[in-house]
Amino acid sequence: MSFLEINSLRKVFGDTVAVDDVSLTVEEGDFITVVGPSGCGKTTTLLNVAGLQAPTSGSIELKGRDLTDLPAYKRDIGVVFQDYALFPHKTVAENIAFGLKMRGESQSKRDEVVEEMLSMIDLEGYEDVYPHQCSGGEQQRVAVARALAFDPDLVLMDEPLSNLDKKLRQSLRTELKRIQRETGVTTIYVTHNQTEALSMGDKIAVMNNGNLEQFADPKLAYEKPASPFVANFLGQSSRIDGTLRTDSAPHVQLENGAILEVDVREGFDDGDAVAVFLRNELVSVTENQPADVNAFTGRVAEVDYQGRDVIYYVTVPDLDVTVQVSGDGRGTVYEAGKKVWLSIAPEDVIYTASEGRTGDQKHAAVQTSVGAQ
Amino acid sequence: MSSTNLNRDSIQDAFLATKTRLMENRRVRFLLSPGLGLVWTLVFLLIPLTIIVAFSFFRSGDGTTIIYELTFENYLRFIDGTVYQRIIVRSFGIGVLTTLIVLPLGYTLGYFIGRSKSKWTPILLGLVVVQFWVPLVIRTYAWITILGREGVVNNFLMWTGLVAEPLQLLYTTHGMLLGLIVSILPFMVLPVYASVSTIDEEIIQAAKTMGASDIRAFVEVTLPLTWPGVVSGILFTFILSAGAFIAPELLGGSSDRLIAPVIATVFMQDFNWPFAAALSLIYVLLIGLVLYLFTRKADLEEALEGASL
Repeated sequence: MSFLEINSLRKVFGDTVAVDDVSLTVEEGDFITVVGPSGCGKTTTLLNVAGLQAPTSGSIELKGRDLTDLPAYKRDIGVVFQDYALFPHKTVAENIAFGLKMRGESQSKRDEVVEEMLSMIDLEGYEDVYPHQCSGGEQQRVAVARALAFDPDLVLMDEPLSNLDKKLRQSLRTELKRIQRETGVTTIYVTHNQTEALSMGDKIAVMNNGNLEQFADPKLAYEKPASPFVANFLGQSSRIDGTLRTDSAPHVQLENGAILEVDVREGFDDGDAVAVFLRNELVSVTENQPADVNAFTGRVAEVDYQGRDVIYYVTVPDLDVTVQVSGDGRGTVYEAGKKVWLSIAPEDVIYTASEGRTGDQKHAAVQTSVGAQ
Repeated sequence: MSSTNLNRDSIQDAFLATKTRLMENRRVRFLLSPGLGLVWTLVFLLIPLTIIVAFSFFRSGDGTTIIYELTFENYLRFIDGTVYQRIIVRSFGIGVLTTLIVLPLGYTLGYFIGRSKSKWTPILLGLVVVQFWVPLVIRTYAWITILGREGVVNNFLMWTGLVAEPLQLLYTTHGMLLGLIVSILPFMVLPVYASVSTIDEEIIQAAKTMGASDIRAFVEVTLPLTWPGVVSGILFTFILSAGAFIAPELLGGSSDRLIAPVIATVFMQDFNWPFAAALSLIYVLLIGLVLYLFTRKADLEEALEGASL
């Protein structure tokens, strides 16, 4: 029996299937990130767990208790909303103490917890301040403290950092992780930001079109994606389709006959149709032919200089694609039209079953422009 | 279809063009400038008010004449006699009673219209204000045909046999209250609607996730956030009902003479302008005092501060 069990959750609005058969189990103390493009059903899943929406079918169990028909206010689940949803007419202290007040805790107990929470979020002395007098980052921390103050079994966060600027987001990300570690509260964190999902989650759930594509350790999801969608979503890469060959040295044979050496991946057999993803940052660019296997020559089509990094769009005739590659912006920056060599170690080549390619093509097209020569 | 659209567009364009042209006209701009508002206030409010204040200290002579010498006799007449004091107390009483009835009715209506997300919402709002299309006097006369001895209600009751004799509905306090409530209801519904519709649904959801039942979420979150709307609704209702003129005259009984019609009588029938002026001033000062005490009690500023986010 897991701490939280979501079983075959399905939520339909009219003709739209927002969540289509999602099952997920979460262990106590875990920090789970749920990531996917907008409209993938991640927020709907969250609202169903919180009890703010009722599932069309399926069930939700927390600590062995069936929550499915329990109203939100009896669930003991804290929620941090995207827009914080702080009570504008209540002070910071009253906001934080709200859950305790609803549970009939005494004023002295409430004051004690508020003080503890304010010190945790580093906002000592903010008791009597109103939310609209706080900055966005401060409001966000108050929202987190408010969701934690009544000691809930589970905390749900719906894109809590998306309204903040990049720098603040970075520091609050670390802060949120620290708070979660200190309190040990089981947390489900919804985001559309891949970096956030990979860096914060003990486990990452990737959703697309109302389905759970993969639920795994972030490193596993990044290196061994379960579907082309996951491979594409978790990082910048270029997609090439081919057939897996494991009879001799394992390799992927591309449609045009070129060969890409790969490592064997469990569950794949000789002859499987696979989608290969070349991650930008794992492909190296050199001026001279490298000694490695998997070396291809190409021509720089476009250069996107970004300071520390530089992104090259390299047309590789052998692979029949334009590969997007990250280079070191501090060294020599190659100019457009320059002939370069690309290489990638076999263990860095990521591949998945190519099924679902049609459905995912529009995502693939973002990264790979086929045959642009 | 497209031609009507075109038509509408061209009308709109013409309207905007006219508006721009008017705003470019310096004389028009001057007439609409905010500074001019002060001039309007001075001409149409302060000067008449000053005249009334002045009149209240003059003496009424024979017939319609006014003796221009300073005197306090109009105020002393109010203080010494109880007739006019009772009328003011009664007017305030009717104001409080109307407010107590209109508040729950108007809040409920405003709350549900403000909360509803359906396409009917604008129509519901339209139904609330549609009565303003007809002048108040005519609306009030309509009640006579409904409440009179031969009116709709009595005819129906007689037809069903529930009563043998027509009930006295018209020219009673109840009749007057009914007229007041119906005509004043929009002034409670609209401010409540306005404040309810600005509340973010997520704020109420947040309260629920923290353990608030529907009722507690309402008491802790919705009600305080709509408080400014409630306060302005109460102010409207009280001022309009305590100072009502038409409903007490047309629907009320002989004991329902409220202050506004009484002042009008002193002005227009007794031609005692100085005393009528004094009565007016006394009433304005008293109602100002009541409103001041009420708004202080209602913590209006704090309520507004909370809702100003």
